Amino acid sequence: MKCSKARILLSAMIDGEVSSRERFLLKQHLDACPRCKEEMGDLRALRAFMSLWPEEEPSRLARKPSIPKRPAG
Amino acid sequence: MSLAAKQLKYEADEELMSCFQSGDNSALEEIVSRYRKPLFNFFYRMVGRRETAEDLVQETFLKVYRFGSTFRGTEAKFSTWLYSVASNQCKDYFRSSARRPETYAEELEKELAENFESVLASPFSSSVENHLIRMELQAALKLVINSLPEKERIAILLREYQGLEYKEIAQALCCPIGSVKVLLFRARKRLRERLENFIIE
Ligand SMILES: [Zn+2]
Repeated sequence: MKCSKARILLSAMIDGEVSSRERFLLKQHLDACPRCKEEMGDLRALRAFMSLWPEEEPSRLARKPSIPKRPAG
Repeated sequence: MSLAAKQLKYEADEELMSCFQSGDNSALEEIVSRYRKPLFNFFYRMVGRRETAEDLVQETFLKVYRFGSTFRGTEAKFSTWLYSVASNQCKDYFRSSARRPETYAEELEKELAENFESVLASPFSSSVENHLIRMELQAALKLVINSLPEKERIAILLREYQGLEYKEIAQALCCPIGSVKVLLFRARKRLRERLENFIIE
């Protein structure tokens, strides 16, 4: 497996979106390629960093989304 | 809360939509209460303005009201369908000429300045310092997410914050799963390059 392919699979792997065969091939590559292995740590760090942006409440002053009344009948 | 409303609380989204399709508007109100906050956050992260995000939430629910009859629970999860409507709302919003590209950064700067002021007004301590650092990191993250190409940004937000699976993101963006993989890979690559100085492993 080429590094370019491994990088795309790594990103999919942290999302749990690789097949068992892909996982096997990726593991083989990582055992032989320290750079891609390091990349894995970087991706995890990015995820941790992104979690710094917490969910916010919609403002209380804003209108509650309204649903038009359906015409009778 | 009426008995009917209580029961709606426990129904699956798809079931609620089917009730709505057969004429029960209260089922749609339950949908609104479930998705108002996640949709708001999706739009807010996408456009960076609270008011705009609130408007987009409202418009999205109006679309659900108007086009809800076209939803087929057998073909997709409701949440996937909803995020495809929401993603199209974003695309329309960015296509409309009213938006100036610099708005987001300006808004963010204003928000930051206000936050800094309120934090600095409190007595100084290490927790205040931590808070300031956190705010700065958050601001960097917001700016960098905002700098992503639109499709990559939608994909990464749907994945990281809305928790969609690749299959669902593919449906929401009308593209193959292979493209979702590449979009997310590219988004993460860009984010990492641009956040290099901030991320501590
Ligand atoms: Zn490699």
